[in-house]
Amino acid sequence: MVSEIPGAAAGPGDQIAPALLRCGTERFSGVLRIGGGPGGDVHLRDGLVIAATTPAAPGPESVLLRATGVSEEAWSQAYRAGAPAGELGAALVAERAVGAAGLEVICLTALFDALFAMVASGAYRCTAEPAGPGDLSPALPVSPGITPDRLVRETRRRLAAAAPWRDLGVTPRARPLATRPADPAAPRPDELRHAVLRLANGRRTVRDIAFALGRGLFPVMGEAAHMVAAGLLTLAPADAETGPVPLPGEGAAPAGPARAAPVPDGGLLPRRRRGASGAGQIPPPPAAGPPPAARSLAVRDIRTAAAHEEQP
Amino acid sequence: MSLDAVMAELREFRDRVTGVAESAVASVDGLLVAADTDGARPEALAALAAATLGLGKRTGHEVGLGDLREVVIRCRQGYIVVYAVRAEGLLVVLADEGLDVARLHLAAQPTIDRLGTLLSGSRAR
Repeated sequence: MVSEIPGAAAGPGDQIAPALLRCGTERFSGVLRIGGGPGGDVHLRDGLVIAATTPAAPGPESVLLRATGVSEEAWSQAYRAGAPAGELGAALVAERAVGAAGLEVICLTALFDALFAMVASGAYRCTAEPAGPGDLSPALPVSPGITPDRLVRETRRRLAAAAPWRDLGVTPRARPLATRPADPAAPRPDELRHAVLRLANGRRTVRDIAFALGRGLFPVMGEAAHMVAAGLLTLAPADAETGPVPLPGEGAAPAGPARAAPVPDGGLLPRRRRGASGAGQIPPPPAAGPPPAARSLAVRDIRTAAAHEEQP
Repeated sequence: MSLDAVMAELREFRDRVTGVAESAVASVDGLLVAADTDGARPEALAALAAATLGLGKRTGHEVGLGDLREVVIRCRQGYIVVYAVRAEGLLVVLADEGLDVARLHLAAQPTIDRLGTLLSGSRAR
């Protein structure tokens, strides 16, 4: 049985709230699928929320692996030992990859962050799917779970805190750009702020930065908003994005879109020419040597509107 | 310039699908056409994506599972997905671990379609 629960349109944060609260009163077990934005899934057991997964915010796994320094080896071992039985969390603690209390905090924080991120990214409706036999449960649930009421209150609190950020233009999809490069030698009173500044290259979205750091979308948005207000960050215009912006001090990453010269004639797709390619070699690391020479590659625009522009 | 159209497609794709970080278009034999990359080396990415696609196709044929849909590689910090663009080209997408793979496959179809037209369509005029 699948029931559509239209959101009560009382505000962006309130569209999912009625459905969640109803799941609580009905002691619902299953998944509440959130649609819109990137959306996501909220997992419930007996009316308690145990986990939420969304592309909009890093989950507990991302936080553990990227921010808290759980090694790949420890993770793999715990995954093998615990995940098949649904006890990944216990296995991670047994592996001493993370403390039991620390893991609880990470899972709970990620759950709050996921709901905030989904709503802030434009979620607008949800569908409840009751649990069935053979369903996979979330890998790192909050145990025993939190009441939907608590989740709704916390999400509202975060949305209220984020409202002024939104007025500054800082949304999950905004692309912040450091007005001057982060100084690696500067004192770092705030590690997160410094990390956000370092990654703000006008290309990554606030959400991308949160994932890259394994930190919650909410705190990263907050830092970004503070720095926009302080003039340390500007926001790249949403439409006229000009491609990757090289960030001074971030090494010799290939700057700008790599492109090839147009072929004079007959070039639809590039053709490999005998001996021209260096036969199966992988190009050297970017630091070693000059940029690769322009090859005879080109594409043609056959769309009628642009077709008359130029004929190489 | 039609290369700009390819770049515009790649940027629009990154903008549209949450989690997509970088992408490139190449020929099936690994020559780079255009890249919307940040940290990845475009030429290496093109060559490796071509090898990946070829290996996927051959493996699929070998075990009799039919034509290749796409190749999905999952790593600790994200995904590498390679799509064929008609018979002669490919699109390789890099995404972080937050990617919704099913959504990516759906969102990629119109982009692949347009890239196919841009890459191997008949000549204008």
